[in-house]
Amino acid sequence: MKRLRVDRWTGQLLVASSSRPATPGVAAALRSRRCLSTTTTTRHQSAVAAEAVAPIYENAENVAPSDLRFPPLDKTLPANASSLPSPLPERALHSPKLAALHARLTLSPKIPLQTLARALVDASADPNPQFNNSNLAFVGQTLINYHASEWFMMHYPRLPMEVLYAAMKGLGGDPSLNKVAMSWGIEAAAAPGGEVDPGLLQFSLESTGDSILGFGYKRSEVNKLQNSKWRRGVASRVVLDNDFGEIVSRNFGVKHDGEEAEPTEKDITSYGNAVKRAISQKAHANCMRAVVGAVYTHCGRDAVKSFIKAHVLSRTIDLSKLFEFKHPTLELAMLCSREEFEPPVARLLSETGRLSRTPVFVVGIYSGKDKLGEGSGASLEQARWKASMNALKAWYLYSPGEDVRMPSDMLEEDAKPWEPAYIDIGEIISR
Amino acid sequence: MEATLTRPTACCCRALTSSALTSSSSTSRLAALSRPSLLSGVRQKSTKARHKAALNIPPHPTFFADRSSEDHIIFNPPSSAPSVFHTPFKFLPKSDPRRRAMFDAHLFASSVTTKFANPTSSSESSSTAPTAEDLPKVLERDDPMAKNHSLTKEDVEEMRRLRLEDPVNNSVKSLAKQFGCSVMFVMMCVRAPAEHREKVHVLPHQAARERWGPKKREAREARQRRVEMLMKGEL
Repeated sequence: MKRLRVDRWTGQLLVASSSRPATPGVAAALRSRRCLSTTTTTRHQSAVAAEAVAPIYENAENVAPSDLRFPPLDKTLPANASSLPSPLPERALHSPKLAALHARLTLSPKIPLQTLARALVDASADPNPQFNNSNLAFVGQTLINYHASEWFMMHYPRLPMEVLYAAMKGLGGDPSLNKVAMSWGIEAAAAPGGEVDPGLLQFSLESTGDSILGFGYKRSEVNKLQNSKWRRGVASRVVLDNDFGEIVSRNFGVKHDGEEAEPTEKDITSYGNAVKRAISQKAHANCMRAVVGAVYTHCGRDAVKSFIKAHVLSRTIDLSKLFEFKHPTLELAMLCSREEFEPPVARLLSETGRLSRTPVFVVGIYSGKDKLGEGSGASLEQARWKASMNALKAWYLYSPGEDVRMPSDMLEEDAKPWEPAYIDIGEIISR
Repeated sequence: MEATLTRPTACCCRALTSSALTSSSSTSRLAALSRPSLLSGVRQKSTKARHKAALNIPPHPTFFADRSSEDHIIFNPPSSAPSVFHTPFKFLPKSDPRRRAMFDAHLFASSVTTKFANPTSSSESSSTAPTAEDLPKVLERDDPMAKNHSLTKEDVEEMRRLRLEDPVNNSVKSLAKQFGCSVMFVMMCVRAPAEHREKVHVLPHQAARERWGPKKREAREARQRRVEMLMKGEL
């Protein structure tokens, strides 16, 4: 497991200032930004208070007659707003959309509107890490995945790793966090830019930002894995791949041979092709993660825990549908021999219409005198498979109860001493 | 509302109520079903209408029983498969408090193991733990007594030698019969030579496969898809 520098997680977010950049790379980026803007306006990311230099506002009477065809949307827009990649942080205080979002989520007043505005700027819209949400989203993603994995480990200690990965993605993956962001009422701007309302989510459909979100290593054999179906075992997924067991890949939506993925006819709908939908999904999910990161940065550990519980862990996910077996009877026999149970046998519980076109057999799997599972099917073989799959699911989905204590509960003050939780000895068969 | 009913609907309603109220029409239909002249004959164009009419059976009379007189239970939804989130007693870990709580109940009359009515066993045996006779019968291929687990290393080596020497005469089935083990065990022990596999299993099947029509091909693909769906728990 990679080591986290906890003391470096969020401190730099609050003291970020363009006057003293932390690294030479950032300084260069800022210099180029200044050259681009060519005016006296400088951007300051200050989440503590709006003490920034007052921007120069455009005078409506100075607009040339030819520009009247496209009058400025906002009277208070700074002169050079459209030359910036994202709205100035000061404008967050005047955006009704942002204030509404802040109120809708009942965020603490400790979280300033500037931070919320920054959470809405994707790395693809503004590559400067001091003005986009990549830092906040990284913190948010780490926290969400920590709480989700802790919840699954404590509630379902016997889940196989593949199912755990799928369940983690079901709670903390892009598709579900995209839905959370949509349910919060976060709307996307048509295109990013300095002149858009800071209350709109800004991301670019053309390019994805190169922000690093999450852990994992880039595999050297990634082309072989994609094209010639190399085996990718669970053990290597644990070590190399990201939190959801997926291959880490920087070029998103682009095939690994360098060509852009050609959208097929099926993909193109009125909402764009599949690649663009995935980019939008990722931007919405990162925005949601950034809000979680903002809650942690400004309000602390307990607040973010209840926030994640309310918005992520409260979503229902049917774990019994995530399983896929190859040899269920063999797996069950191996389980029974490992646990020193009697070998499993199938017994016919009831049947109807054996000679008809639609027979139904109900088969139970017994180990000794105990019934482990039961399944029905149109043939004896199918019913036996189904019964063994149900028995295996009953094993894997064992839960010690709803009100299990989490390791993170120990961080509270005057917490009771920790009692060791139930941990399973491991997988039955290696995949 | 009744006034706005269109004519065919009204006809249907009338037919339904009449069949529900008078059992004479339904019994006559059922009698028609059992008439040998209709069922034994080959279906022709001339007899198609009669065949269809014979298959048009009214609902079972119990659906129309007078329900006002006696109390009864309607299972809606009907009884379903047990939930996989209900962990069987045997799968509970030693530390689980449910194990202790269920132990007494499990000793005498388990709530997990369903008791099946057995006409041969006496009534007092139903209150105690289920014996081997109380359990339903084992499916043939899962009977542990049917398998021979006493093969020695020499037996396995002999099996391999026979199969590799003459794979035509010593087929997997005949070896399984000879050594008293399962077909699967023979296949685990030895694999036929590559040229034999090619000659017996690949080439003839390829020739047969090329003769298949679209229906047979589709039926085969559908069967494979059904197995995949079954393994994902979608079926």
